[in-house]
Amino acid sequence: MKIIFRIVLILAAAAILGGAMYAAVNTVGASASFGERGERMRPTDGDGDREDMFRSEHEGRERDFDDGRGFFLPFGMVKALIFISVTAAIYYFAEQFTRRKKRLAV
Amino acid sequence: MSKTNKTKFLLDALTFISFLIAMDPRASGVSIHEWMTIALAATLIVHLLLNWDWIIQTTQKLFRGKINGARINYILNWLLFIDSVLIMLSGVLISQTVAPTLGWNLPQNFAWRELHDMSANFALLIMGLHIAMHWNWIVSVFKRLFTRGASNPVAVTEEA
Repeated sequence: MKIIFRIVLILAAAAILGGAMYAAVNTVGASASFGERGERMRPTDGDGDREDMFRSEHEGRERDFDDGRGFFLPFGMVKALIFISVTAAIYYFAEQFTRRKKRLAV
Repeated sequence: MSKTNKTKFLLDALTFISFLIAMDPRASGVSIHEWMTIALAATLIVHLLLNWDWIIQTTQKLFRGKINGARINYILNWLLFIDSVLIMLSGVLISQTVAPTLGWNLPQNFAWRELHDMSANFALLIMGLHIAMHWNWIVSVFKRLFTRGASNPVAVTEEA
């Protein structure tokens, strides 16, 4: 019962945050053209080349996902791992350095 | 080593590997990317449940003004939670597999794509800091788990 209550609490917190984000993005999207950039700028006259010109980088990536070309080298995974490692290392060594400095000062 | 620590470590390791796979939808494919991230939401909830006591204690200390060293960690954990919610919300809203499978017809909005990318990149930064803050615990549990009979002077303390 306690665990169910905790799960509900986590989900409620996530729902409140998600709802606030959804409302914020839709409000911003309604007042500015940011939310509709892709749709609004795209030509509707059926000109294929011009449509490609206006197609966002993300749409190109979607096509790559599903075109059945098979296995991709996991560069994204390696990139993420390197980024996390570098961030962690910088923080860790900075913290160690600060601690050592404090200890020496005392 | 306590069973809870072992469970926490294995769950966190699994979550981290899944996170890395999910970070590369080009390699894994969009279906795996989406369904795996849904599963990651469940592991995130379990992670929070396993560290519930720390969350409650630190929150209480924060309201009493007695919190010192754990403040950055606490703020960082909240940022990670908010960012995770944003990644999942934007991911569901731009979903190509999960939403159609569940029969959801969601409106297309370019802003959610941008937000999904930005929040995922921001998650890398927070994840790096989160790991750095718990590095001593990670090393300690790893040694105890994989080095039989090794004496370890570092106390295995649990933090979210």
